[in-house]
Amino acid sequence: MSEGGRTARSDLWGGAGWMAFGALIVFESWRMERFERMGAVLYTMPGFVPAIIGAVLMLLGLVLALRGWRRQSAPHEADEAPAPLLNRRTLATLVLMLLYAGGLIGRVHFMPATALFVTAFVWLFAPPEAGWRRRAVAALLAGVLTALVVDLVFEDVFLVRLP
Amino acid sequence: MFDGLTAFGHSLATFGTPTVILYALLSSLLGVVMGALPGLTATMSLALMTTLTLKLPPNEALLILVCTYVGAIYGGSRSAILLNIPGTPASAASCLDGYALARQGLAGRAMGIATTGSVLGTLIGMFFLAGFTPVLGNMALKFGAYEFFWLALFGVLIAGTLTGDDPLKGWIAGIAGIFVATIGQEAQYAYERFAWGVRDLAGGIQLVPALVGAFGFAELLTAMKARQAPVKISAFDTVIPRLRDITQYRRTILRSGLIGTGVGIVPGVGEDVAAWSSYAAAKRASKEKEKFGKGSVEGLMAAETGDNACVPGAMIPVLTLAIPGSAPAAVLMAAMIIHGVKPGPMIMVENPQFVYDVVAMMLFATVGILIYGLVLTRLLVQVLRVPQHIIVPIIFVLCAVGSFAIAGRLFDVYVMLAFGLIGFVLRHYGYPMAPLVLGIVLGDLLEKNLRRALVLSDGDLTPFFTRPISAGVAALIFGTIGWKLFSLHRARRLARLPT
Repeated sequence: MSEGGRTARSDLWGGAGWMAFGALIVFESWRMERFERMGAVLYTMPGFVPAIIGAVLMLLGLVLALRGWRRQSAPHEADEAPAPLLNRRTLATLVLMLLYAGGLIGRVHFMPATALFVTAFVWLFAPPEAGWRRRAVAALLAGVLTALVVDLVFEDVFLVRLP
Repeated sequence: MFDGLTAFGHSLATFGTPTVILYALLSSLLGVVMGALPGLTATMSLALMTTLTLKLPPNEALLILVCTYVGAIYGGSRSAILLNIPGTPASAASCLDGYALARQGLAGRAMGIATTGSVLGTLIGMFFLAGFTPVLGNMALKFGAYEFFWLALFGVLIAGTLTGDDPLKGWIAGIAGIFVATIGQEAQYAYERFAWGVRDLAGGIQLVPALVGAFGFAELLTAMKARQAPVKISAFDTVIPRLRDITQYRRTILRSGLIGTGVGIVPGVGEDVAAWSSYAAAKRASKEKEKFGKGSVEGLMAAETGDNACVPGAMIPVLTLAIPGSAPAAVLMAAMIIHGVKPGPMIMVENPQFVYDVVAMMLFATVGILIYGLVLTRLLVQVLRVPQHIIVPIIFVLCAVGSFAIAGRLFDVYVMLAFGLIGFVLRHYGYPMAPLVLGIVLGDLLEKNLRRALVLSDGDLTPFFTRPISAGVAALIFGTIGWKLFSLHRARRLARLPT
């Protein structure tokens, strides 16, 4: 489990975030239809359980925020500098994956979309020591093979429809 | 007892056809490979295989999934021993002594021990699965809405308490998971909650895409943070286990098998906790404590026995209570429901044969991992050489395709992306994923039974605390939380004392 971002400050802000989220849930639950004209009582109303969930989240968020605030102000518990959430590698990975799954799939035929994604990914992250020709061939091979094999296995062997 | 043996024999006969045996061997192999690859957890492997087996007959689909599950938990030991990187979280404890043995030139012996421990652990767990499930199933027939409410809450909270090192964040993740389960049409009035006019949200969040996102996409993003170091696999000789290791450590094997099975029965707490608990107990009882962490055969045996015994153990609450014993078991439970099998207290009444079918499936998987552990290790470890930058995009393609395959909706792919991003951020800030998943799985059970119980008691809360089983589970919840808070408070006070 990644622990790089855990600090007193992140707990403080995280707790505040959970409190806000819990409050939103309670507010939305309050606004829900109550079906009183159909004989509903409090615990049969659609908003009953979500309101409890929201209230519990607010309470736990408050405890987390207080804990973070106490740790932040304690002089003998100095925070280490937190590891960043994203670095260049993760950002590039995220962008490529979002473009593929959020952009290409469903809009472009599966095989070229997959071949393009895998080729681009392998080429981008291949070790720089490998020459560009070798990188390109490996990337293209990986992309085309992945697209062909996944299509064959899912659609023809297991009869599962692809996007 | 004889009815059980007859039913088990019937299951073996049913699954004893060449096609089914081939499925079992191939899926065990696939499980071992997926478990060995760091970045591909057992939960994600099962989620991907669930989508692949949608169109197969139920028994064959579930056999493939059970074999994948057992194989994946075992497979994690390969990379743990050879690379000091756990293939799955369950194998983290095996890194300590497995890798140390490999560095001493004993990688083959370590893998033989891992194979022995895994096989024996699964067999011990299977024994309890076959014996305990009918008993617990009959007991569960007495459970009512009050009991199921407390059990569902127990599952979420205990997962938060025991997984990760921050129970507060575990509980927050669990409650957030319960919230996710409320999205969509609620059961009584079909009222759309938290859908905000989005038609696809009215149907709720499907479990498998959410799991694939939280355990798959999030894991891949985390894995890509750092460039993979060149893989150096230790040389190894024979991997055939020694009989002496089994006889010398028979008490450790039995103890670890019992602990692993017991941990598996506890909802939400998975194979990693089973492995560490077995390891810690073995170290406490060992006459060679100083060897632990430096290449202890006993330590490795305990970890591997414990984590594999957890697999059948986790199936016990799935079958009898419809409450998963671990995150991979949650996926298996979802797969059962997809294929028309109804886990829960009525299983011993409506479909008792299925329990023994699962035991038979575990036996096939155990034979599979024994064969691969003895015969195919050298070939299997070559998989570890495949570079990360090739594996990651292929796995992501499977994540996207698998999420789509469940219901043929692009929306589920977007759910996978959303939960992947949420999971990635939450993990960075120290929130465990297992309670989130348990919350999503158990949220519906919790809400339905809470509302049903309050209708039955006309809003009176007293039965929640006065019915015997209900009161017992409630006491267990409050006792566990209280004990954990007390332990943390004591640890903080000790840390502040001057040295």
